[in-house]
Amino acid sequence: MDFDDILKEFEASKRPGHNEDELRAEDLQRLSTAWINERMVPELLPYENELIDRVLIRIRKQVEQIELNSIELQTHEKEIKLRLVVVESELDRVQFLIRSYTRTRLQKIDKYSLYIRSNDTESAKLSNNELTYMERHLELLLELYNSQFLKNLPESLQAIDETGGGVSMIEEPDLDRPVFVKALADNVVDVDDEEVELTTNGIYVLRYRAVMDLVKVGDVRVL
Amino acid sequence: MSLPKAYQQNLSPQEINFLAEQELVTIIPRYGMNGVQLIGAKLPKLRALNREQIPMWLATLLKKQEKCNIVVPEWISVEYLRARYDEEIKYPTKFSNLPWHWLPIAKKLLDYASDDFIDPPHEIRSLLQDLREIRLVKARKGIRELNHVYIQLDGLSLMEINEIRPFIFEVMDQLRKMNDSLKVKAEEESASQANAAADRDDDSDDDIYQKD
Repeated sequence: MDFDDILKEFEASKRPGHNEDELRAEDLQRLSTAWINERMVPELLPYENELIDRVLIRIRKQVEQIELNSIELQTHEKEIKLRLVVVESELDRVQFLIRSYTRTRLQKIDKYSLYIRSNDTESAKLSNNELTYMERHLELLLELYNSQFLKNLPESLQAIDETGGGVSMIEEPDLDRPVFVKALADNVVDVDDEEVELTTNGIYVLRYRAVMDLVKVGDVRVL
Repeated sequence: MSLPKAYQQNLSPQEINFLAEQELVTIIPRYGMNGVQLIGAKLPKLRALNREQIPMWLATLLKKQEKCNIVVPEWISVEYLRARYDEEIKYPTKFSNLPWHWLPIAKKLLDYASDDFIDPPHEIRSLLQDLREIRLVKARKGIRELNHVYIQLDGLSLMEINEIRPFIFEVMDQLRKMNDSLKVKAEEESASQANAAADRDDDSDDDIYQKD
């Protein structure tokens, strides 16, 4: 752990009105929500930088703790064993969330690379690691396309990001795809010139475009 | 591929179980145990017979080790479930009020803590099955109401939503596309009518397609 991590931990623990334990519980809750949102929504959402950093630091500490305790295990203490099982099960669960979150993002990044690259607000949603990954992946992909078939096509047909002729070759997320949401507050949204009233606790299926702003402020929860 | 196609836009039943296991349940510890620091909220220090609220995954883990008993939630009782079943019959267009994760939680408790049940587990099991079936039929009937704008599904639990999700997505998406193409067509027609009107106003404008 370096100095920045310690500072981050310190800053986090200083947030008002929360003790450390509540904060940890809240972070896991937020991680689950971030995971579900990323899975269910058509567009790439902004990377949860600080949240992921905090959880990763805790994971690392927990792994160190497990290693320390495993050495003591020779004493055949049953309680230590059970405690380790508890710690390891939780670790598995948190790691699953992080992994699935990352994989979901990578899938979208792969699919929409060209679109993300052409648009500054989109690229700003990526973490530094994700940006590096995307550039490298795209580079490899282009190299492959070129060596396999593009070089044999007439030059005018070689581009892979043509937008003219009414059909764009750059794939964009379909914001009109439906999503399931639960309303957490009363709101009225416009869908295709019709007004839809969202009542608190109601469950609705409607196109993502109509509720995307409400998702961001937390007035609806993606299911 | 980083995420298999079946997992895009949908959750797997295992993943919903995972979410259900985050819900809190009350346990009665049989033995004392020191608190455990976790990545999320810590497991508090347990004292024998002192009730604690902990997440479902932890409760079943301790239960498997025979460290605790689980207090079966009030809604998993013959009386409560039967009342919900009657409601389902009485109101054919509404879903009765069941917890967000009723299916996975009830199943998990039946599997791991059936000795903690007050009512006979087999009766609970069959009531759950009845509820599940009647709600499934209702959900399918509700699909008739589908349109391209929105659909409201109050009262369904996550597992039930997830089961009908692929179907609803597909239908709404198709309806949306049909509606969009209708709109485009209507626009084209009104545009061509306007053009025709303009043509009539100006006879000198030769239009080879209208000469026949």
